[in-house]
Amino acid sequence: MWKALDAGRDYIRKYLPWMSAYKTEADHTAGLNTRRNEADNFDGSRGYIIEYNGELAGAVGFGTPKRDNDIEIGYWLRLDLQGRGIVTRSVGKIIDMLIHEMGLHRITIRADTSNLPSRGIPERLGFKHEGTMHDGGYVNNEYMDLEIYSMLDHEWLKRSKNA
Amino acid sequence: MSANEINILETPILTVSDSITLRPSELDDAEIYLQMVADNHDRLSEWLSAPMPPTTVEERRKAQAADLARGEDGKGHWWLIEEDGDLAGTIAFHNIEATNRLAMVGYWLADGFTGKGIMTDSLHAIIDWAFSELNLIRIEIQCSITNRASCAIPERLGIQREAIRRQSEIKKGVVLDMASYAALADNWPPKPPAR
Repeated sequence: MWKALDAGRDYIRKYLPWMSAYKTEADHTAGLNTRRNEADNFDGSRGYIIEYNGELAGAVGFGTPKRDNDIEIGYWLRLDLQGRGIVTRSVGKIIDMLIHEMGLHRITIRADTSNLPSRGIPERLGFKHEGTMHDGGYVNNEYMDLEIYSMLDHEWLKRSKNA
Repeated sequence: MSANEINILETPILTVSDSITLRPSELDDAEIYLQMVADNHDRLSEWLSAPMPPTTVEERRKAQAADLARGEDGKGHWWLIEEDGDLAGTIAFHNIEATNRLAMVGYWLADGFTGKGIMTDSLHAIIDWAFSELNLIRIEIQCSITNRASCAIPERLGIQREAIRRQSEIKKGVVLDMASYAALADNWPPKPPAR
């Protein structure tokens, strides 16, 4: 996993605040272990590796379900594998699990306003755009606007039925 | 202090007007706080989960101690609102995020103190303080779109609504659409949007 992250460093750190903290593989391993401990103590969060034809392609995960059953999904993908629907399908799978199996009511995705490939994921999955958080994220010493998207359980069920 | 870092400060007494003062909430306020919650419980429980249900003084002290400890780490600030010395309500920053330099606001007023602009002026005062002293850049206020009195407070200050977070809270079994407002340090007090 480290190889893919390190190779994609320049574009990943443009949008994701945690990338700059990972300078070496050891930093990343330590970061992963902290996240695992948090998940073990059941904050409910989970992370998955995305494999494409057996190769590590990226990752997708979700945070702690907040009160009222709201949960946020995050993802990244190797630059050379973008444009094939890999993340769209992966996120769809995760939403199936969150809504059908875990009974969550609301899924949130936030994406940098300027990151069009990332925004395309919730848009293609039929999420509703709710608004813009001005200066909502801080990456590389700059504040950026985030677009907020949401999907509600009944909307996803309807979508699944029509698919 | 670095330009991009927040300051960790003690919660100050803020004088809002001749009659309104915000004073830091203390451990020994547990009893009067609980009384105020009990007196206003039916109205408040439609919108708030935080002070519900009313707890014992001992439990309230514990919750208050936890809040104060978070305050010492710079994670929040809790005030009681007094009008001419009478307890009128509360206002707070909770979830101060150092990295994103943002905070979320919570507030409520007791019966008999609403409709007089007390909360609008109090909100204005704590945002002034947070932008100038804590070095925050963004302050969020969320309220149910059906709670007009609450939404009117940021709106009267010209704070823009950024989103409606659909069905994002459930209170007393009722699903609420939450209007999300944000005050921004680089436009404070807010100028009217360009035409």
